[in-house]
Amino acid sequence: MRPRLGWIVSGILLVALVITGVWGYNQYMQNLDYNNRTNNLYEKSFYELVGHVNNIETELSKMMVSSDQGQNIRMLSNVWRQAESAGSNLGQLPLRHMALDKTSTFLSQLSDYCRYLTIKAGEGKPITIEEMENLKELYNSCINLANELRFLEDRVNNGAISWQEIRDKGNQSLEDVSDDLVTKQFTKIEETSIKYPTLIYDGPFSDTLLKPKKLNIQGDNIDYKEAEKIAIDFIGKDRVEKASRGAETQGTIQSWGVNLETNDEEGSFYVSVSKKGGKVISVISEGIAQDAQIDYKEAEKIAKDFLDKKGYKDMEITYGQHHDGMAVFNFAFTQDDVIIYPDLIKVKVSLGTGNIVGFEALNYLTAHRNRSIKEPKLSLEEARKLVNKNLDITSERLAIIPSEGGDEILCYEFKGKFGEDNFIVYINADTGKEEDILKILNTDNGTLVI
Amino acid sequence: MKAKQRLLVISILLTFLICAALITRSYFLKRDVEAAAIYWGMTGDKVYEVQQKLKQWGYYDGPIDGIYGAKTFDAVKKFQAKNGLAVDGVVGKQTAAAMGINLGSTSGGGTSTPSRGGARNEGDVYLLAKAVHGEARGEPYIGKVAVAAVILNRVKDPRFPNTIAGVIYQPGAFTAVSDGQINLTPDEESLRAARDALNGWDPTYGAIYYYNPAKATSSWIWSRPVHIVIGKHHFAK
Repeated sequence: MRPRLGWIVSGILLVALVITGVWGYNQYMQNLDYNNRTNNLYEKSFYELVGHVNNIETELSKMMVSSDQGQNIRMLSNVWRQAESAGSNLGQLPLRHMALDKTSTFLSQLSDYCRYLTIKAGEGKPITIEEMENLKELYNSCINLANELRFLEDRVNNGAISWQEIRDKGNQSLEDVSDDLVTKQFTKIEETSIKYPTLIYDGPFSDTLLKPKKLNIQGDNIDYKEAEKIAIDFIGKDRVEKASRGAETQGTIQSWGVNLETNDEEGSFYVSVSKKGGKVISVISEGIAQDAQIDYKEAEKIAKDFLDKKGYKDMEITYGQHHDGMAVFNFAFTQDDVIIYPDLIKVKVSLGTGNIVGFEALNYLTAHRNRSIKEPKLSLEEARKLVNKNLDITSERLAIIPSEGGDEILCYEFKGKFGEDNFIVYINADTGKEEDILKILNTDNGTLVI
Repeated sequence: MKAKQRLLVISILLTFLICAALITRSYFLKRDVEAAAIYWGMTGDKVYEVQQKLKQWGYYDGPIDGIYGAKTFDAVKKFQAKNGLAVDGVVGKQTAAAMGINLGSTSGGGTSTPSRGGARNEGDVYLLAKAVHGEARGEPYIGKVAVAAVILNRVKDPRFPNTIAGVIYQPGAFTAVSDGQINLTPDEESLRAARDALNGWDPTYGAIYYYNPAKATSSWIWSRPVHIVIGKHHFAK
């Protein structure tokens, strides 16, 4: 009897062992498979990065000796495209951000600068000597980057670098100073080789744009008590039940934070009030969704009246949308019938209660000033002739729009239809250049502009 | 006696073998994904359509947001029960036909255009909400808006990838992505926070980093100027 039971028990254990073994082996194989796949993705990103940078180097070197405008456009657009791809490959490497900071900026700016030059050359304008000098410097940095990358490539090729290891190190949150070779190498690239010229051009990464926005508010500094009073008045004394000190901001935009509890169902509000001049910059609330009691049109009027009451006169609605019982409206300032899009304020209204539940005026408070709008060089008729004949124009007016580089451009704004679709076309009021085309989407949730 | 014991042994062994078969099966076979159906967890235009129909007919009283959640699930079940269909909460062929919806291609929220600044579509809102939910669950509402704003600020910054997906899935950038928490279904609050951030609200006024001082050990991150402290997170530039 006894020995038999022993056999049975050991039999069961044996089966269990075999099952665990099979299971463990499967796990191991699966793990290996996943490891290989992620590793392959890292390798692909790295090799593509090296390839792109090498191509950029070649194209830029050809640029140095070419004098044909058509060739230049082709090469510039090539660099633009390759630098863009290189940047996205770089972002896929498992390296700490600090190690890639400058390399990434370099690639972004190179791509953007070449895009700017491509567009410029496409308009038939010659590339200036200064711009050529900038390109030459970018080219020199690119040679260095390509050399360092080739050194790394050798190491990757002979297996001295394991992405898995680097990744595991990188995952230890933000531990300081790593000593793996790749990070070191990239840090070296950062320290020595990348010197890019201060690029003066009008693009999204121009150096002027990297400087942070500053509030354009006059007035004395206020203390927290005053800020709290301003915040309560802004939301409405009758709505506020309790106020307490909230998070304040440092840096270029300095503000007091006020937390407000309201007596209606919107819950708590966070109001940010500028330390200088005591202006409300933004209001954020939890915005709990409720059943709609008022319609979109009513909400629009509530938003407009609210701005009037708070001293923001001459604001015109530009577009709006609604989601989950909340409507968000964008307003732009108008002066002498010219709509000024950089002076933007957003107002959020609850369709349940008809109350203001959000407000954002950072753009307005940084951009707004007394402008003297110059007479446009082109007349409305002249500008209209420059609009594509396919567009069936429904309205036209003068507008100031922000450029990618942060400047302001005076334009004629033509709204019109092409087939079923609505478009807005902006024609520069001085040069006649078509600055922008927007497509308007009328969705169930309101008007969107893209 | 002996026969009984033998029976016992055999049944134990059988149980083990069945378990083993089940375990290995689940590792070897990928679950069959039901093609062309709309079910819990999906997002996109088709879900919109379902929600709209159900709301029209009074089965559904939640938001029409294109996200198949608990409320939509319940509404679909109600609809199926009322119309004599199999009650499983999945909009399959028959349920779709009863609703008058063409299943055809069930697309996700749509593709995003690779322009700097990102595209504004429901897919982006959802992805951003997932990141917020994974990173800032339990934080106050403005803390959630702030996390979403940091991601959007990175998209605009030349030092980071230039799409929302690129920034979120940058290796090692966010812990919620590394440990898989990003795959949780975002709650309504995260969706609202994501939408607020896409609409331009940014309580940090331009921060591109944040860290939890109780966890971050890097001296580098401590050296960044802190803009605002919300909940557990320090937001820095």
